[in-house]
Amino acid sequence: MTEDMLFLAGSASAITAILVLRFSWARRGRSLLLNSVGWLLLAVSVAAGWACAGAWGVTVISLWAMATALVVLAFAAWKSPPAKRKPSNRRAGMLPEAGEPLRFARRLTTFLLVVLAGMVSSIALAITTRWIALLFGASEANANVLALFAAPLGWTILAFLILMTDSRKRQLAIIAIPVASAIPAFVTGSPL
Amino acid sequence: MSVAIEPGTVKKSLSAHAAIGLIAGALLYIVSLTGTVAVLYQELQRVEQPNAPEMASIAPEAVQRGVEAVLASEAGQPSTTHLYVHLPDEELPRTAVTTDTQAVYLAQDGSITGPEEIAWSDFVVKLHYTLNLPVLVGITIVGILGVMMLALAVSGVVAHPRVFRDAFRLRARNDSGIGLADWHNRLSVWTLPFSVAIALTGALIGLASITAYGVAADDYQGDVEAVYGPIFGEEGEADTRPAPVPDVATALVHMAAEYPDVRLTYAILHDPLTRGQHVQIVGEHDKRLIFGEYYAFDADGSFEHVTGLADGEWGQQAAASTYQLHFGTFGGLPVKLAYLLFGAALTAVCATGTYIWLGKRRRRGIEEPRLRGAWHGVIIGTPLALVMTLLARSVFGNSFPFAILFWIGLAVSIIGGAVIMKQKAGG
Repeated sequence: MTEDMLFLAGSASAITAILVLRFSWARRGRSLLLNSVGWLLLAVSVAAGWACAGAWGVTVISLWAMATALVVLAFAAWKSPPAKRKPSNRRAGMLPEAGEPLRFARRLTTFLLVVLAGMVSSIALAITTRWIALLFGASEANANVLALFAAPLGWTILAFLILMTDSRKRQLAIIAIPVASAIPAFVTGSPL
Repeated sequence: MSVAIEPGTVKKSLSAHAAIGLIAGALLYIVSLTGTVAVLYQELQRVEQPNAPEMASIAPEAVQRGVEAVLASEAGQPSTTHLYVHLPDEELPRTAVTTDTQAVYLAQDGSITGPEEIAWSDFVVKLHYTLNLPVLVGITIVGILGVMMLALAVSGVVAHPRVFRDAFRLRARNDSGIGLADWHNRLSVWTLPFSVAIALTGALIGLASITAYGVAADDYQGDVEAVYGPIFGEEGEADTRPAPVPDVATALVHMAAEYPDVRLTYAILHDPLTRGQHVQIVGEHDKRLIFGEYYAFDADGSFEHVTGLADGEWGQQAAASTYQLHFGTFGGLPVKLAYLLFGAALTAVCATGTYIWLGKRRRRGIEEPRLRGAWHGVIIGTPLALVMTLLARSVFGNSFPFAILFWIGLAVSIIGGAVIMKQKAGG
């Protein structure tokens, strides 16, 4: 019963938080008070979700917050006047423009660095993560799960960093560091 | 919220965002769309085969009779390595038995009523999981798409410093590009927790195989199953000498008596009809993200142990939580509807990204009718090809090759879109 009340309070808090933020952000000037109330209500909803049902509670309550935001957005779309501003034409630089060389080999190399080298590097990072976790006394189950999480998270960061730099040397260094970090794990074997 | 990011960083991040989006965009769109449809996997099964027997629950003795009948039906064939009994629940009130070679429904009394015929629902799920490719290749590619979606989330936030400040600004009534960009940015920012959760769990599920290969090569002499053993429990020692059918009924009776609050979802027989056989019951726990806890029994139905997915190591709980978090099956219909809504939003984000990029190039005087037409082909062709497969299911039946029709239909749509747009442009 208490859990249900807490869950309802958390859900109401999440929905109210989005409405308060909407009201606050729609004003000409930002209100510190309203913003703080909005974020505080969001924090309260997360805490209530966690208190009543842990990760399940936080997840479900966050779904209600997101759904409220989408309803508010739908309302904004319905009410929006025609836009007067010119649309952006910021160049993304993905493909060449008139007269520019395609530089296919360079683009292909970057692609291979992100995908193939990124895969090898992220698996190396997973092995390193597991090895360090075991060294610090983590159980085998926790260490293996850390490795499974480290691969996609590490790859995401590697992909972003590689694409954020133009220097090929720096890109190779970004790839090489996780691979080098896995050498002790391969050389010394399992700390189990 | 305002974030001060260097203009150079913003520009590079936009390039990174565009590069990932353009290369992975079409596959991300297909995976997002099919994932959204697959949220209703249980409901789709009921629609696809409406006449299958349904029940709120089934007696342990009836399950035992069903298991015995299915194993007897495979006498003379190579023994199945696993036998799964799906126990009826609210979302799918059906009892189905699946072996390595067949899947059948059971009636309330445990008798076999006929084959499970849900090939279209399974096709949609396989398309989402593996893009209809061989499992290891396909699931790894989909895992990589999860990573790319995460990288898109990071680069998207960095590339748009006002993304949170403008979180409620939606200038929908605009066809010059602002409206499209606003839809893309607003849907992205408000579904960000959902997108990150879906992408991370999808990437983890997809890349688990190759990561496990790496860990196994480092520390388990290449034994991949040994990587999963500490998390999901070890497989028992194989002993192929023949043995009678294991006692599933006693295991189910034990569960009802000792764990009345646990919702039983599966009974799994490992190596049935051999001396190495054992039984696992999978039980869902209320208000948990884990797909369930494994309750292990020997062949006589005597309880042995729990694996610890519900209350063991935090790593076990986290790993067991990825599946329900990804598929939205942890909170009944309201959560499924929320996943449908956010899945549709994520699919729209995937679709609009490339249109925004094409629009910017058009405003700089670069017309690309073929590329635009091909993208139209992806966006319109994917749902159209899915509908075609559904029609084929109703006209030609369960054994129709849905994957072939889907990919041919999509290819025709992409090529057709490119050709039509090129012709319209006067090329």
